[in-house]
Amino acid sequence: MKRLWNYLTIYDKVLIISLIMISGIFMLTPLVGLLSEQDRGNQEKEIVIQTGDGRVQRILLENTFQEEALIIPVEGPLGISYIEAHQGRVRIKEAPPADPLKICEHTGWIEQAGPPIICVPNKISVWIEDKESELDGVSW
Amino acid sequence: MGFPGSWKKYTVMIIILIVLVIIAGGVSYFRNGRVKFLLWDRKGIYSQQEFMMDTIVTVKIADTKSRSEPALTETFHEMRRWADRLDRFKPTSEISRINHSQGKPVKVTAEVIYLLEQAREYSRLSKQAFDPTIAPLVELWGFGQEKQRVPEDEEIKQLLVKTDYRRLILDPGENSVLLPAGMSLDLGGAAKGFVVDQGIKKLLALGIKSAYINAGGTIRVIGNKAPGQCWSIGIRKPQIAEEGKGSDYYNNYIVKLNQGSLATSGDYERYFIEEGVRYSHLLDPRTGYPARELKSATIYAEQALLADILSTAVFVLGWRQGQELINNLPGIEGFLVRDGSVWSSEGFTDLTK
Amino acid sequence: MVKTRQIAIIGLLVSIGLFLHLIEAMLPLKLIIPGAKLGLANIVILMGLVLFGFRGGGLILLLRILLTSILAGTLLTINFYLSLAGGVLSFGVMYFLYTYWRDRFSLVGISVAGAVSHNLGQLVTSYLIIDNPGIFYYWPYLVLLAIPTGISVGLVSYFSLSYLPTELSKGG
Repeated sequence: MKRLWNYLTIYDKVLIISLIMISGIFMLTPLVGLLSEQDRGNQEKEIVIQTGDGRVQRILLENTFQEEALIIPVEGPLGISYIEAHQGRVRIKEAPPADPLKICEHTGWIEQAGPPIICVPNKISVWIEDKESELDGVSW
Repeated sequence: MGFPGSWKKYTVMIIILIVLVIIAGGVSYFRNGRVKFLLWDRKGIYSQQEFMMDTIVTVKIADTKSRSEPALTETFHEMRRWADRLDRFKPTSEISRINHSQGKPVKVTAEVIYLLEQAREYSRLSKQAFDPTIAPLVELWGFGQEKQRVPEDEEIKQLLVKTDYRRLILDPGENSVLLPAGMSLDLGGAAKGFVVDQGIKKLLALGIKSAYINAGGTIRVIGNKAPGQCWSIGIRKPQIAEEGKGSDYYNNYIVKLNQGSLATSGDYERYFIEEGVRYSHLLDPRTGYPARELKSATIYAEQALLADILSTAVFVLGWRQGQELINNLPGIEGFLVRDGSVWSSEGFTDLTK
Repeated sequence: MVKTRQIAIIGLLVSIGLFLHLIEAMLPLKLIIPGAKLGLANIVILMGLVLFGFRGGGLILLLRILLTSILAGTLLTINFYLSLAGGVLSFGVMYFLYTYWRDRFSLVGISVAGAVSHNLGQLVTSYLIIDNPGIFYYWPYLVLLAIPTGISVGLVSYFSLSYLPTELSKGG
């Protein structure tokens, strides 16, 4: 460890420390948003599923509190991805066999507004959004 | 240094170029839609409010900031231009020139000819429940002015003959309008819709695909607010603002639109009270008295102009005939409120789902 | 003679790169952070850059990506373009630092910068493809992972290079 520290130049150290600081800041920023939104509960959240052709499905998170999990097949360029929503959480249960890395499958469950599940090869992204119940306007 | 030595300098450049082209080609082959290179120019809802036509006008655009902001300015400029042309209290406006023409033909823009044609057409279809030549009656009642009063029967009868859309002569080929002396136009029931349509036309010309315009309750939208999400619009409950419920809306009738217009006419908008009786500004052109049967009428139509005209016409027609007119016109849906009950056309109910 | 030897060494480095890639694919790192990789193959790129400069390093990079994707069956798929974009950006950054700021940055610093820009290149390309800015949520986590692996890669390259006979780095 001491040898490593001596080997590093001052520029190396500045680079590494500033990278750690920048990513720390970026990491905390979404967290601040998440914490303030937690008290909104499940009632006003929805799952958003976006496919490559720009189509979007929205499912109220409160509709996933049932005994049976909700399985949503979504078609992408590589085949069908199966999305599972259950007990206020959502994940990509099964990526199509043609997806070599299946990164989105490994992402696991998400249950809050925050990082999306993204399947780049099959061009599907899934995330949770706070539902906007507000009206855009009133006709009078 | 360098490997292999025999390579010419530009070979490296060519290889770099080829690799970059391969990456760009791959990305553009796989990407979704238009690439937005600037993260900080993300899509959002950008809105602006201005006071115009005696009311608040709101424009919302769902697009990138760099596209929305100039579009907002240009759209308001365009809408204000048309609002000025239709303002009958502005001496230089096209409507004023028609009203002061003393029976001589007046040249106007093609858009105003179109507006008057539509006004005349729907006057005919609604059997004169709407009439653009109602200005003399409106002035007699004094709505919007200081000397509001209930006129004598005799006075009204004299002015009823001056309210007749059939005597408004339009020449679309020449873009000219001929209005007999003594008559005058009041486009109160159509101008907001027309101006909203012009605003939307401007937005479309600017390449905006997703927007919302609300001019004093007359609303038109294009496109989804966000992918898969319509614009949602409430309908005001027809209560008088003094009761403290002025901004209340029907929770079960929230209209979801990604195209089309809504306009509402209600007796709560402009009115005065004399000897305990409330007189609303929505006059029946056939009798010269305020229409009383409905509390409010909301119309859905493709164009805001039609929604605006028809909401006035249906309000005047009342419960039964209003429903008939809505059901008879293709592409028109409606929602009526009278004391104690509401009615919604089948298509209108579908819009709220 | 020199040329032949260099070709042989480049071939050797490419195959070490392939081997490292295979080792890496066995590690379950992507279970922790979606899309994360150690980037061990960067060792051979960095060594190629030091030994043979821009052309040699670039050649190793392109050959490695091409061969890896042929072996993994991802040639011309999205994954191929992602590694190409990440690799090219990372190589560009490392080449720049090594050529102009060699006196300021050690191989460790250069390798860390390369690892971070590799992530950035992949994320930006993914963003362009999927058009969901939410993908940048993962960037700080990837950076935090890239720092220790970047340091290790830099150290390994440094020590490997110091054990190699010096005449290897003398180009023909």
